[in-house]
Amino acid sequence: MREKIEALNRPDILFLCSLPEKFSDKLPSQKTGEKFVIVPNSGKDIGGKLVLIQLLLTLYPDTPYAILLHDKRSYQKHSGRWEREGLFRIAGPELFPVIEKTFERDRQLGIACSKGYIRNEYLGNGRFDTPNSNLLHGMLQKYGFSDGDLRFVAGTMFWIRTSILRNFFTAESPLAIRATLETGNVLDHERGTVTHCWERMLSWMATASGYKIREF
Amino acid sequence: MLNRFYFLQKDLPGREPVKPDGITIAHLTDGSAESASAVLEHQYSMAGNYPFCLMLRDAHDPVAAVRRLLLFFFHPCYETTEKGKPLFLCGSPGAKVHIQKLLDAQGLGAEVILTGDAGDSVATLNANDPDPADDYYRYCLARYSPEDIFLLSGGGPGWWQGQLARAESRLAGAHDRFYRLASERLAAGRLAAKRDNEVRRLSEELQIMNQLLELSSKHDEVDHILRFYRNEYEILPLWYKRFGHVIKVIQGKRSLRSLFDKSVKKYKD
Repeated sequence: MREKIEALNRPDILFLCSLPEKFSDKLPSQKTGEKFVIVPNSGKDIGGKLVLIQLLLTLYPDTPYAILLHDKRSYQKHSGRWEREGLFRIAGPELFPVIEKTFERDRQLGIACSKGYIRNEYLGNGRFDTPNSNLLHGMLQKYGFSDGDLRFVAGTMFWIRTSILRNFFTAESPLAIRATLETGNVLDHERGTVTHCWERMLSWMATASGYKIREF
Repeated sequence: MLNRFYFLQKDLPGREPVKPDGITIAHLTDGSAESASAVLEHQYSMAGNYPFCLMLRDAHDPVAAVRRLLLFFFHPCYETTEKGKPLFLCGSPGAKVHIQKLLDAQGLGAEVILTGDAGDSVATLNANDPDPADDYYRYCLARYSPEDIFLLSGGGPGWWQGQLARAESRLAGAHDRFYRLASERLAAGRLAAKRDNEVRRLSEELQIMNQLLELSSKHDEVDHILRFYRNEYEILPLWYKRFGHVIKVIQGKRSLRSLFDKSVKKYKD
Protein backbone atom coordinates (compact mmCIF):
# COMPACT_ATOMS: atom_id res chain seq x y z
CA MET A 1 0.00 0.00 0.00
CA ARG A 2 2.88 2.30 0.90
CA GLU A 3 4.49 1.64 -2.50
CA LYS A 4 1.26 2.46 -4.31
CA ILE A 5 1.02 5.81 -2.52
CA GLU A 6 4.72 6.57 -3.06
CA ALA A 7 4.27 5.87 -6.78
CA LEU A 8 1.90 8.85 -6.94
CA ASN A 9 4.92 11.04 -6.17
CA ARG A 10 2.98 13.58 -4.11
CA PRO A 11 3.82 15.38 -0.88
CA ASP A 12 0.81 13.94 0.96
CA ILE A 13 1.20 12.59 4.47
CA LEU A 14 0.66 8.92 5.06
CA PHE A 15 -0.97 7.93 8.35
CA LEU A 16 -0.24 4.27 9.02
CA CYS A 17 -1.69 1.88 11.54
CA SER A 18 -0.52 -1.61 12.39
CA LEU A 19 -0.89 -4.25 15.09
CA PRO A 20 1.64 -4.59 17.96
CA GLU A 21 2.19 -8.28 17.10
CA LYS A 22 3.73 -7.27 13.77
CA PHE A 23 6.58 -5.52 15.56
CA SER A 24 7.55 -7.88 18.37
CA ASP A 25 11.28 -7.36 17.78
CA LYS A 26 11.77 -3.89 16.39
CA LEU A 27 9.35 -0.99 16.32
CA PRO A 28 9.00 1.14 13.19
CA SER A 29 10.85 4.43 13.26
CA GLN A 30 9.16 7.44 11.76
CA LYS A 31 10.01 8.68 8.31
CA THR A 32 9.38 12.07 6.77
CA GLY A 33 5.79 12.27 5.59
CA GLU A 34 4.65 9.29 7.66
CA LYS A 35 2.85 9.15 10.99
CA PHE A 36 2.64 5.73 12.57
CA VAL A 37 0.37 4.28 15.24
CA ILE A 38 0.55 0.81 16.77
CA VAL A 39 -2.94 -0.21 17.78
CA PRO A 40 -4.26 -3.40 19.40
CA ASN A 41 -7.11 -5.00 17.49
CA SER A 42 -10.35 -3.41 18.58
CA GLY A 43 -12.96 -3.04 15.88
CA LYS A 44 -10.66 -4.33 13.11
CA ASP A 45 -9.90 -1.64 10.49
CA ILE A 46 -12.58 0.69 11.92
CA GLY A 47 -10.80 0.84 15.30
CA GLY A 48 -7.49 1.65 13.60
CA LYS A 49 -9.11 4.25 11.36
CA LEU A 50 -10.66 5.98 14.39
CA VAL A 51 -7.21 6.33 15.99
CA LEU A 52 -5.80 7.70 12.73
CA ILE A 53 -8.70 10.15 12.36
CA GLN A 54 -8.03 11.44 15.89
CA LEU A 55 -4.33 11.84 15.05
CA LEU A 56 -5.07 13.56 11.74
CA LEU A 57 -7.51 16.01 13.35
CA THR A 58 -4.99 16.75 16.14
CA LEU A 59 -1.90 17.22 13.98
CA TYR A 60 -3.39 18.50 10.72
CA PRO A 61 -6.91 19.79 11.42
CA ASP A 62 -7.03 21.84 8.21
CA THR A 63 -6.24 19.03 5.76
CA PRO A 64 -8.87 19.27 2.99
CA TYR A 65 -9.31 15.57 2.20
CA ALA A 66 -8.44 12.20 3.68
CA ILE A 67 -8.39 8.81 1.97
CA LEU A 68 -9.28 5.85 4.15
CA LEU A 69 -7.70 2.58 3.04
CA HIS A 70 -6.82 -0.69 4.69
CA ASP A 71 -5.11 -3.94 3.89
CA LYS A 72 -8.39 -5.74 3.22
CA ARG A 73 -7.99 -9.45 3.63
CA SER A 74 -11.54 -10.81 4.04
CA TYR A 75 -10.40 -14.40 4.44
CA GLN A 76 -14.04 -15.42 4.65
CA LYS A 77 -14.49 -14.51 0.97
CA HIS A 78 -12.85 -16.13 -2.05
CA SER A 79 -13.20 -12.79 -3.80
CA GLY A 80 -11.29 -10.85 -1.09
CA ARG A 81 -8.17 -10.17 -3.13
CA TRP A 82 -10.09 -9.13 -6.22
CA GLU A 83 -12.25 -6.81 -4.11
CA ARG A 84 -9.17 -5.20 -2.59
CA GLU A 85 -7.75 -4.28 -6.00
CA GLY A 86 -11.07 -2.68 -6.91
CA LEU A 87 -11.22 -0.69 -3.69
CA PHE A 88 -7.63 0.56 -4.05
CA ARG A 89 -8.34 2.15 -7.43
CA ILE A 90 -9.28 5.44 -5.74
CA ALA A 91 -5.65 5.87 -4.65
CA GLY A 92 -4.27 4.82 -8.04
CA PRO A 93 -2.54 7.13 -10.54
CA GLU A 94 -5.57 7.23 -12.87
CA LEU A 95 -8.30 8.15 -10.42
CA PHE A 96 -6.35 10.23 -7.87
CA PRO A 97 -6.20 13.48 -9.89
CA VAL A 98 -9.73 12.99 -11.23
CA ILE A 99 -11.23 12.64 -7.76
CA GLU A 100 -9.20 15.55 -6.39
CA LYS A 101 -10.42 17.86 -9.17
CA THR A 102 -14.02 16.71 -8.70
CA PHE A 103 -13.83 17.51 -4.97
CA GLU A 104 -12.50 20.99 -5.75
CA ARG A 105 -15.25 21.62 -8.30
CA ASP A 106 -18.22 20.08 -6.49
CA ARG A 107 -18.52 21.52 -2.97
CA GLN A 108 -21.38 19.13 -2.17
CA LEU A 109 -19.29 16.02 -2.82
CA GLY A 110 -18.52 14.49 0.58
CA ILE A 111 -17.30 10.97 -0.22
CA ALA A 112 -15.74 9.40 -3.32
CA CYS A 113 -15.34 5.64 -3.68
CA SER A 114 -14.65 2.94 -6.24
CA LYS A 115 -17.41 1.92 -8.62
CA GLY A 116 -19.72 -0.80 -7.34
CA TYR A 117 -19.17 -0.36 -3.62
CA ILE A 118 -22.11 1.82 -2.65
CA ARG A 119 -24.70 -0.22 -0.79
CA ASN A 120 -28.13 0.56 0.56
CA GLU A 121 -29.64 -1.81 3.10
CA TYR A 122 -32.41 0.50 4.27
CA LEU A 123 -35.88 -1.09 4.09
CA GLY A 124 -37.80 1.85 5.56
CA ASN A 125 -39.41 2.30 8.98
CA GLY A 126 -36.04 2.14 10.75
CA ARG A 127 -35.30 -1.39 9.47
CA PHE A 128 -32.23 -2.57 7.57
CA ASP A 129 -31.51 -5.70 5.55
CA THR A 130 -28.64 -6.82 7.81
CA PRO A 131 -28.17 -8.51 11.21
CA ASN A 132 -26.99 -5.03 12.36
CA SER A 133 -30.50 -3.59 11.88
CA ASN A 134 -31.45 -2.99 15.52
CA LEU A 135 -28.08 -1.52 16.40
CA LEU A 136 -28.16 0.76 13.35
CA HIS A 137 -31.63 2.00 14.21
CA GLY A 138 -30.42 2.85 17.72
CA MET A 139 -27.39 4.70 16.36
CA LEU A 140 -29.45 6.75 13.90
CA GLN A 141 -31.55 7.96 16.80
CA LYS A 142 -28.61 8.52 19.14
CA TYR A 143 -26.71 10.69 16.66
CA GLY A 144 -29.82 12.36 15.21
CA PHE A 145 -29.23 11.19 11.62
CA SER A 146 -32.26 11.42 9.33
CA ASP A 147 -33.30 8.45 7.18
CA GLY A 148 -32.93 10.48 3.97
CA ASP A 149 -29.85 8.99 2.31
CA LEU A 150 -28.62 5.87 4.09
CA ARG A 151 -26.30 4.58 1.41
CA PHE A 152 -22.82 3.65 2.55
CA VAL A 153 -19.50 2.57 1.09
CA ALA A 154 -18.91 -1.13 1.70
CA GLY A 155 -15.29 -1.88 2.60
CA THR A 156 -14.77 1.57 4.18
CA MET A 157 -12.19 2.72 1.62
CA PHE A 158 -12.96 6.17 0.29
CA TRP A 159 -12.00 9.80 0.00
CA ILE A 160 -13.73 12.02 2.50
CA ARG A 161 -13.81 15.76 3.00
CA THR A 162 -11.97 16.26 6.32
CA SER A 163 -14.41 18.97 7.43
CA ILE A 164 -17.06 16.21 7.72
CA LEU A 165 -14.84 14.26 10.10
CA ARG A 166 -13.96 17.43 12.01
CA ASN A 167 -17.60 18.45 12.46
CA PHE A 168 -18.68 15.03 13.72
CA PHE A 169 -15.66 14.10 15.82
CA THR A 170 -15.38 17.44 17.60
CA ALA A 171 -18.50 16.46 19.51
CA GLU A 172 -17.85 12.70 19.61
CA SER A 173 -14.32 11.56 20.47
CA PRO A 174 -13.08 8.89 18.02
CA LEU A 175 -11.28 7.12 20.85
CA ALA A 176 -14.39 7.09 23.05
CA ILE A 177 -16.21 5.44 20.12
CA ARG A 178 -13.32 3.01 19.64
CA ALA A 179 -13.75 1.89 23.25
CA THR A 180 -17.23 0.60 22.33
CA LEU A 181 -16.04 -1.64 19.47
CA GLU A 182 -15.67 -5.41 19.71
CA THR A 183 -12.23 -7.01 19.91
CA GLY A 184 -10.85 -9.80 17.71
CA ASN A 185 -11.81 -10.78 14.18
CA VAL A 186 -15.41 -9.74 14.60
CA LEU A 187 -17.90 -10.80 11.87
CA ASP A 188 -21.53 -9.78 11.36
CA HIS A 189 -22.89 -12.76 9.46
CA GLU A 190 -25.12 -13.94 12.25
CA ARG A 191 -25.22 -11.18 14.85
CA GLY A 192 -24.98 -7.42 14.56
CA THR A 193 -21.84 -5.68 15.79
CA VAL A 194 -21.05 -2.11 16.80
CA THR A 195 -17.95 -2.31 14.61
CA HIS A 196 -19.96 -3.00 11.44
CA CYS A 197 -22.42 -0.26 12.38
CA TRP A 198 -19.58 2.27 12.44
CA GLU A 199 -18.56 1.08 8.97
CA ARG A 200 -21.92 2.51 7.87
CA MET A 201 -21.84 5.51 10.20
CA LEU A 202 -18.62 6.80 8.62
CA SER A 203 -20.56 7.26 5.36
CA TRP A 204 -23.72 8.53 7.02
CA MET A 205 -21.92 11.34 8.82
CA ALA A 206 -21.42 12.77 5.30
CA THR A 207 -24.91 12.14 3.92
CA ALA A 208 -26.54 13.35 7.16
CA SER A 209 -24.78 16.70 6.66
CA GLY A 210 -26.18 17.01 3.14
CA TYR A 211 -23.09 15.80 1.26
CA LYS A 212 -23.17 13.40 -1.68
CA ILE A 213 -21.46 10.06 -2.20
CA ARG A 214 -20.14 9.39 -5.70
CA GLU A 215 -18.56 6.38 -7.39
CA PHE A 216 -15.52 6.65 -9.69
CA MET B 1 21.09 -1.84 32.80
CA LEU B 2 19.82 -3.93 35.73
CA ASN B 3 16.65 -1.85 36.29
CA ARG B 4 14.33 0.40 34.32
CA PHE B 5 15.31 4.09 34.39
CA TYR B 6 13.15 7.06 33.44
CA PHE B 7 14.61 10.50 32.97
CA LEU B 8 12.09 13.14 34.04
CA GLN B 9 11.92 15.56 31.13
CA LYS B 10 10.39 18.87 32.18
CA ASP B 11 10.71 20.82 28.91
CA LEU B 12 10.70 19.45 25.41
CA PRO B 13 14.12 18.45 24.06
CA GLY B 14 15.46 20.50 21.15
CA ARG B 15 15.48 19.49 17.51
CA GLU B 16 18.56 17.32 17.98
CA PRO B 17 17.64 13.61 18.17
CA VAL B 18 17.78 12.18 21.71
CA LYS B 19 19.63 8.87 22.05
CA PRO B 20 19.36 7.86 25.68
CA ASP B 21 20.52 4.23 25.47
CA GLY B 22 18.90 2.24 28.29
CA ILE B 23 17.15 5.33 29.69
CA THR B 24 13.59 6.21 28.72
CA ILE B 25 12.49 9.83 28.55
CA ALA B 26 9.43 10.40 30.78
CA HIS B 27 7.71 13.61 29.69
CA LEU B 28 6.25 15.39 32.70
CA THR B 29 2.76 16.65 31.89
CA ASP B 30 -0.25 18.00 33.74
CA GLY B 31 -2.43 16.59 30.95
CA SER B 32 -3.69 20.03 29.86
CA ALA B 33 -4.64 20.37 26.19
CA GLU B 34 -1.72 22.76 25.66
CA SER B 35 0.89 20.45 27.21
CA ALA B 36 -0.50 17.33 25.49
CA SER B 37 -0.55 18.95 22.08
CA ALA B 38 3.05 20.28 22.40
CA VAL B 39 4.45 16.87 23.41
CA LEU B 40 2.44 15.04 20.73
CA GLU B 41 3.71 17.36 18.00
CA HIS B 42 7.27 16.86 19.22
CA GLN B 43 6.99 13.06 19.32
CA TYR B 44 5.49 13.00 15.82
CA SER B 45 8.29 15.19 14.46
CA MET B 46 11.53 13.66 13.16
CA ALA B 47 13.17 14.59 16.49
CA GLY B 48 10.72 12.30 18.30
CA ASN B 49 12.25 8.98 17.26
CA TYR B 50 13.25 7.82 20.73
CA PRO B 51 11.61 5.72 23.47
CA PHE B 52 9.43 7.80 25.75
CA CYS B 53 6.58 7.56 28.20
CA LEU B 54 4.41 10.01 30.11
CA MET B 55 4.34 10.96 33.75
CA LEU B 56 1.19 12.71 34.88
CA ARG B 57 1.77 15.27 37.62
CA ASP B 58 -0.26 18.13 39.10
CA ALA B 59 -3.32 17.28 37.01
CA HIS B 60 -6.49 19.11 38.06
CA ASP B 61 -8.67 16.20 36.86
CA PRO B 62 -6.41 13.15 36.26
CA VAL B 63 -9.05 11.07 34.44
CA ALA B 64 -9.95 13.90 32.03
CA ALA B 65 -6.21 14.47 31.55
CA VAL B 66 -5.63 10.83 30.57
CA ARG B 67 -8.50 11.08 28.05
CA ARG B 68 -6.54 13.88 26.38
CA LEU B 69 -3.36 11.78 26.49
CA LEU B 70 -4.79 8.57 24.98
CA LEU B 71 -3.24 9.11 21.55
CA PHE B 72 0.28 8.88 23.00
CA PHE B 73 -0.17 5.23 23.92
CA PHE B 74 -0.43 4.34 20.22
CA HIS B 75 2.83 6.08 19.28
CA PRO B 76 5.38 3.52 17.96
CA CYS B 77 8.08 4.78 20.36
CA TYR B 78 5.89 4.73 23.47
CA GLU B 79 7.60 2.67 26.17
CA THR B 80 6.16 -0.79 26.77
CA THR B 81 7.00 -3.23 29.52
CA GLU B 82 8.45 -6.68 28.87
CA LYS B 83 4.88 -7.94 28.45
CA GLY B 84 4.26 -5.39 25.73
CA LYS B 85 2.04 -3.15 27.85
CA PRO B 86 2.41 0.64 27.63
CA LEU B 87 3.79 2.12 30.83
CA PHE B 88 2.19 5.14 32.46
CA LEU B 89 3.65 6.94 35.47
CA CYS B 90 0.99 8.58 37.56
CA GLY B 91 1.24 10.89 40.56
CA SER B 92 -2.48 10.66 41.46
CA PRO B 93 -3.11 7.51 43.56
CA GLY B 94 -6.87 8.15 43.84
CA ALA B 95 -7.36 8.05 40.09
CA LYS B 96 -5.42 4.84 39.36
CA VAL B 97 -8.47 2.57 39.05
CA HIS B 98 -10.32 4.97 36.72
CA ILE B 99 -7.23 5.55 34.59
CA GLN B 100 -6.61 1.81 34.32
CA LYS B 101 -10.23 1.31 33.21
CA LEU B 102 -9.91 4.02 30.57
CA LEU B 103 -6.76 2.45 29.14
CA ASP B 104 -8.21 -1.08 29.27
CA ALA B 105 -11.22 0.10 27.25
CA GLN B 106 -8.78 0.94 24.44
CA GLY B 107 -7.41 -2.63 24.60
CA LEU B 108 -4.09 -1.29 25.86
CA GLY B 109 -3.86 -3.15 29.18
CA ALA B 110 -1.40 -0.46 30.21
CA GLU B 111 0.70 -0.73 33.35
CA VAL B 112 -0.14 2.27 35.53
CA ILE B 113 2.66 2.86 38.03
CA LEU B 114 2.13 5.19 40.95
CA THR B 115 4.92 7.54 41.86
CA GLY B 116 5.37 9.53 45.07
CA ASP B 117 4.67 8.42 48.65
CA ALA B 118 1.91 5.94 47.78
CA GLY B 119 3.98 4.69 44.86
CA ASP B 120 4.70 1.18 43.67
CA SER B 121 8.35 0.09 43.61
CA VAL B 122 9.56 3.47 42.45
CA ALA B 123 12.62 5.33 43.70
CA THR B 124 14.10 8.63 42.62
CA LEU B 125 17.78 9.33 42.00
CA ASN B 126 18.59 13.00 42.16
CA ALA B 127 21.40 14.68 40.25
CA ASN B 128 21.85 17.16 43.13
CA ASP B 129 22.68 14.40 45.63
CA PRO B 130 26.41 14.07 46.44
CA ASP B 131 26.94 10.74 44.62
CA PRO B 132 23.87 9.19 42.94
CA ALA B 133 26.01 6.47 41.28
CA ASP B 134 27.06 5.32 44.75
CA ASP B 135 23.43 5.45 45.96
CA TYR B 136 22.45 3.05 43.15
CA TYR B 137 25.47 0.81 43.84
CA ARG B 138 24.51 0.51 47.52
CA TYR B 139 20.84 -0.15 46.58
CA CYS B 140 21.93 -3.08 44.37
CA LEU B 141 23.89 -4.67 47.19
CA ALA B 142 21.24 -4.09 49.86
CA ARG B 143 17.81 -4.66 48.29
CA TYR B 144 18.01 -5.18 44.52
CA SER B 145 14.85 -6.23 42.70
CA PRO B 146 14.53 -6.30 38.89
CA GLU B 147 10.95 -5.04 39.25
CA ASP B 148 12.03 -1.71 40.81
CA ILE B 149 12.09 1.34 38.62
CA PHE B 150 14.06 4.56 39.03
CA LEU B 151 13.11 8.11 38.18
CA LEU B 152 16.09 10.24 37.29
CA SER B 153 15.72 13.86 38.30
CA GLY B 154 17.95 16.75 37.18
CA GLY B 155 21.10 16.50 35.07
CA GLY B 156 20.53 15.13 31.57
CA PRO B 157 20.08 11.68 29.99
CA GLY B 158 23.71 11.61 28.88
CA TRP B 159 24.99 12.54 32.34
CA TRP B 160 22.86 9.81 33.91
CA GLN B 161 24.11 7.27 31.42
CA GLY B 162 27.63 7.98 32.65
CA GLN B 163 26.63 7.71 36.32
CA LEU B 164 24.79 4.39 35.87
CA ALA B 165 27.56 2.92 33.73
CA ARG B 166 30.02 3.80 36.51
CA ALA B 167 27.85 2.06 39.14
CA GLU B 168 27.42 -1.04 36.99
CA SER B 169 31.08 -1.37 36.14
CA ARG B 170 31.87 -1.11 39.88
CA LEU B 171 29.32 -3.89 40.51
CA ALA B 172 30.70 -6.06 37.71
CA GLY B 173 34.20 -5.67 39.10
CA ALA B 174 33.56 -6.11 42.83
CA HIS B 175 30.53 -8.43 42.74
CA ASP B 176 30.94 -10.33 39.51
CA ARG B 177 28.59 -13.21 40.42
CA PHE B 178 25.74 -10.90 41.49
CA TYR B 179 26.10 -8.80 38.35
CA ARG B 180 26.12 -11.86 36.07
CA LEU B 181 23.07 -13.42 37.76
CA ALA B 182 21.11 -10.16 37.70
CA SER B 183 21.93 -9.66 33.99
CA GLU B 184 20.93 -13.24 33.16
CA ARG B 185 17.72 -12.86 35.15
CA LEU B 186 16.83 -9.78 33.11
CA ALA B 187 17.59 -11.49 29.79
CA ALA B 188 15.56 -14.57 30.81
CA GLY B 189 12.64 -12.35 31.84
CA ARG B 190 12.67 -10.60 28.46
CA LEU B 191 12.78 -13.91 26.61
CA ALA B 192 9.90 -15.35 28.67
CA ALA B 193 7.80 -12.25 28.00
CA LYS B 194 8.56 -12.48 24.29
CA ARG B 195 7.47 -16.13 24.24
CA ASP B 196 4.28 -15.24 26.17
CA ASN B 197 3.44 -12.64 23.54
CA GLU B 198 4.10 -15.17 20.80
CA VAL B 199 1.79 -17.73 22.44
CA ARG B 200 -0.93 -15.09 22.81
CA ARG B 201 -0.61 -14.07 19.15
CA LEU B 202 -0.71 -17.68 17.92
CA SER B 203 -3.73 -18.50 20.09
CA GLU B 204 -5.56 -15.52 18.64
CA GLU B 205 -4.65 -16.55 15.10
CA LEU B 206 -5.83 -20.10 15.78
CA GLN B 207 -9.12 -18.77 17.06
CA ILE B 208 -9.57 -16.68 13.90
CA MET B 209 -8.75 -19.63 11.64
CA ASN B 210 -11.29 -21.81 13.47
CA GLN B 211 -13.89 -19.09 13.13
CA LEU B 212 -13.27 -18.80 9.40
CA LEU B 213 -13.32 -22.55 8.94
CA GLU B 214 -16.67 -22.75 10.67
CA LEU B 215 -17.96 -19.90 8.57
CA SER B 216 -16.81 -21.35 5.27
CA SER B 217 -18.51 -24.68 6.07
CA LYS B 218 -21.79 -22.82 6.53
CA HIS B 219 -21.50 -20.50 3.56
CA ASP B 220 -20.01 -21.82 0.34
CA GLU B 221 -19.21 -18.78 -1.77
CA VAL B 222 -18.09 -20.83 -4.81
CA ASP B 223 -21.48 -22.52 -4.85
CA HIS B 224 -23.14 -19.13 -4.55
CA ILE B 225 -21.18 -17.72 -7.53
CA LEU B 226 -21.91 -20.81 -9.69
CA ARG B 227 -25.61 -20.57 -8.87
CA PHE B 228 -25.58 -16.86 -9.71
CA TYR B 229 -23.84 -17.57 -13.05
CA ARG B 230 -26.33 -20.28 -13.95
CA ASN B 231 -29.35 -18.14 -13.06
CA GLU B 232 -28.04 -15.11 -14.91
CA TYR B 233 -26.55 -16.72 -18.01
CA GLU B 234 -27.00 -20.48 -18.45
CA ILE B 235 -30.71 -20.34 -17.85
CA LEU B 236 -31.32 -17.92 -20.74
CA PRO B 237 -33.04 -19.38 -23.85
CA LEU B 238 -30.83 -20.20 -26.85
CA TRP B 239 -32.63 -17.76 -29.19
CA TYR B 240 -31.84 -14.92 -26.73
CA LYS B 241 -28.14 -15.71 -26.87
CA ARG B 242 -28.17 -16.06 -30.68
CA PHE B 243 -29.91 -12.69 -30.97
CA GLY B 244 -27.05 -11.25 -28.91
CA HIS B 245 -24.53 -12.67 -31.39
CA VAL B 246 -26.36 -10.96 -34.29
CA ILE B 247 -26.18 -7.62 -32.41
CA LYS B 248 -22.42 -8.11 -31.98
CA VAL B 249 -22.09 -8.64 -35.75
CA ILE B 250 -24.11 -5.43 -36.39
CA GLN B 251 -21.85 -3.55 -33.94
CA GLY B 252 -18.82 -4.84 -35.81
CA LYS B 253 -17.42 -6.68 -32.82
CA ARG B 254 -17.84 -10.10 -34.42
CA SER B 255 -17.49 -11.41 -37.98
CA LEU B 256 -20.61 -12.57 -39.84
CA ARG B 257 -18.85 -15.75 -40.98
CA SER B 258 -18.23 -16.83 -37.39
CA LEU B 259 -21.99 -17.33 -36.94
CA PHE B 260 -21.90 -20.20 -39.46
CA ASP B 261 -18.33 -21.45 -39.29
CA LYS B 262 -16.90 -22.53 -35.94
CA SER B 263 -13.35 -22.76 -37.28
CA VAL B 264 -12.95 -19.02 -37.91
CA LYS B 265 -11.88 -16.47 -35.35
CA LYS B 266 -14.98 -15.18 -33.54
CA TYR B 267 -14.06 -11.75 -32.24
CA LYS B 268 -12.13 -8.97 -33.90
CA ASP B 269 -9.22 -7.53 -31.88
